[in-house]
Amino acid sequence: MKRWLRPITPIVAALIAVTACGGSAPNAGVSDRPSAAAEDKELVFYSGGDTNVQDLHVKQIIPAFEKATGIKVTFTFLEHGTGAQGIYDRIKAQSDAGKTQWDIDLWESDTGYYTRPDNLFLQVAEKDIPNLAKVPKPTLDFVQNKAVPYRGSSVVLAYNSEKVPSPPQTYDDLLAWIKANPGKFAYNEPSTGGSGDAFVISMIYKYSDYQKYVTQPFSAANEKDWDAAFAALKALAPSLYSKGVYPKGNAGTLDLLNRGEIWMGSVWSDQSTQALAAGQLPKTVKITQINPAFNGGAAYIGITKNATHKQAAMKYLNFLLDPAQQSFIVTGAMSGYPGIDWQYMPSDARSRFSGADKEYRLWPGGTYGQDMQRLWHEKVAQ
Amino acid sequence: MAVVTSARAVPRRRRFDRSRAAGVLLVLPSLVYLTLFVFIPVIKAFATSFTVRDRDDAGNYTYRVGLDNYAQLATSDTLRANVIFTVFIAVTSVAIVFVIAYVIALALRFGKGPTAKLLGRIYIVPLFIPSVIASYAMITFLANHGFVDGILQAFGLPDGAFPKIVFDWKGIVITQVWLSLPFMTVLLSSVLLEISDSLIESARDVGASSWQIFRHIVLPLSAPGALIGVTFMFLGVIGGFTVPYLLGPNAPQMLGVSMVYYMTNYFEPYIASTQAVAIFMLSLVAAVYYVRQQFKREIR
Repeated sequence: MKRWLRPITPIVAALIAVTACGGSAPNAGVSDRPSAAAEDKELVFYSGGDTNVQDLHVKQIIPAFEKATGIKVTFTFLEHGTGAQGIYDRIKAQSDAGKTQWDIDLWESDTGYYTRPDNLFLQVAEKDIPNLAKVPKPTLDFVQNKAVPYRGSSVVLAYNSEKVPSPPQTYDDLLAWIKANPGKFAYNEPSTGGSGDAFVISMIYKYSDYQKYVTQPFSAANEKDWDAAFAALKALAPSLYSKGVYPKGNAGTLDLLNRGEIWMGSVWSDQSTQALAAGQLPKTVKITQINPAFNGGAAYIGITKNATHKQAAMKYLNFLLDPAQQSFIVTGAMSGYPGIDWQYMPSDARSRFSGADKEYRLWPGGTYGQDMQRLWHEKVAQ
Repeated sequence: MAVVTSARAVPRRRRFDRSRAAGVLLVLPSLVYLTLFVFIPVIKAFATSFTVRDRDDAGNYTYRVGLDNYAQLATSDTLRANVIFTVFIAVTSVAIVFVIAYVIALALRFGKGPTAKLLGRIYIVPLFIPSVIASYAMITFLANHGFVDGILQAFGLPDGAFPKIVFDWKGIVITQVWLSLPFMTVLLSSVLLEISDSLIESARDVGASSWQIFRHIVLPLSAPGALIGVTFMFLGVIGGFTVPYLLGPNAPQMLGVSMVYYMTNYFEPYIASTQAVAIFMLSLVAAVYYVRQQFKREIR
């Protein structure tokens, strides 16, 4: 590069970055920061999601982290993932411009972004983040170690303990129970909420090999196994609520449970626990996890590959995976699962999900998810 | 000669130009709006519906131009059922609304008692309730073990005997009827008001019965306006989303719902566009009729 061009480069990069965000993102921090020496004094963290995610970071984790380390965290939050693509473009623009110090250190967003071929995120390792040793390996493998799972949720079985004293332990037990108690189970229409998808996915895993979905890339050939699963679901319809009515949305199943229309249903762990805490479900409703488990997922935070404050970013993630901080996630308003294995969690946190404090299975979603929802409509819905 | 002609022609043309410019200026905003938000999207959807996407075993896509999406619309049991279901719901709801609204409008036009007055006040209420709220209200009202079921059970209806209305076609039709009734009634009332009293009184003077007056005077005179109302409601129902999404069965789905599912859940924008064209074609039948009626009116 010509010498005279050099001073302009950061400006050009900044311009690209700003235009990539449509000019609407705050452009503070676009300028280059002094090089990260041994000790980072600040950290730039972009996040998005529901306000409970914002509360978790702003009210609990960040103050505790700043107090413990003296690192100043600049936190930018975009509600409900609005502008996630814009943030991604901003990181990518800095990568394309060949910058070595990017202005975003940590980014929390949808899982799919971290493994994109643009390769914008740092592969994390135990030597940098010691608490990663406590994280279940499959959730890290799922994103090729390019982000850290720090909280999660899964689909669980909710049941009316007055009517069902001993809930089913396995998926097969559950199917037998549904047939023995016609009209008393419901799962919501898969396209309308993940807790309905989970019941269908469990059936797919019953007739197909789970490992093929979590360790291998997409292959349409695997979908040949699905015919048997959909046939079984279709055959189950007469035993379901109202002879095969699938409520709309995750809340649809909770509503039926609340009105006593059904005695059992597949629901989200966090949503049902929050509803129980808020008194929106009768106290007689309890949750449990079957074996093998319904699928769930983790929320991830990634370190950008050329983050200016890499050390601080690693410290933050390590701090976040500490059992003390993880307890906030479980017992606080979020009602999340911990990112680390349940065995490292204190007993009061475990008791909140007693019966469901187990590992969950994963589901790759993407094309599989799109096909599953479409085929369910074609082959099962009535 | 030539000079004179042109001298005469120039000011005339200038005047003509100015009024034409004003006309263009007046039309321009709506033309821009229509182009940006109607013509271009329609053309795009139309073009997209001819894009066929093939997927290989590894999930990679290839694209080509063809009629496969339309073939799928015609042959896939699910999609064909959705088209038929949509037409069925639209025709049924419109027919029911028309009959009820006509009766209310007749009562408002010719009724003199306090009942007619009260009716004139309350029929308008649903117009001010958003469809999403109305839909949820209908769910709690008509669901099994809902409000109506509860009352009927108190009067001895056995548990489980209440028919399935919510999550069924009946739920969509009832809610659409409830929501569309005010609009149709307002429209029919104004149509009936156009029929002059003197016409009806003179018919009565020559001995026509109420039925004869209705059959030979009121009905024919109100028909063109009424059919325009029918057209509008048909268009509204056929493209609806909220009511069929919340109250309808899991399958078949109305095209509005199905289209959203194909677009956002199944990632099949090409099939979704084809369904959009199907809705557009169904609407076109109604729209052509409407335009023809308007045209006839203007000639008259």
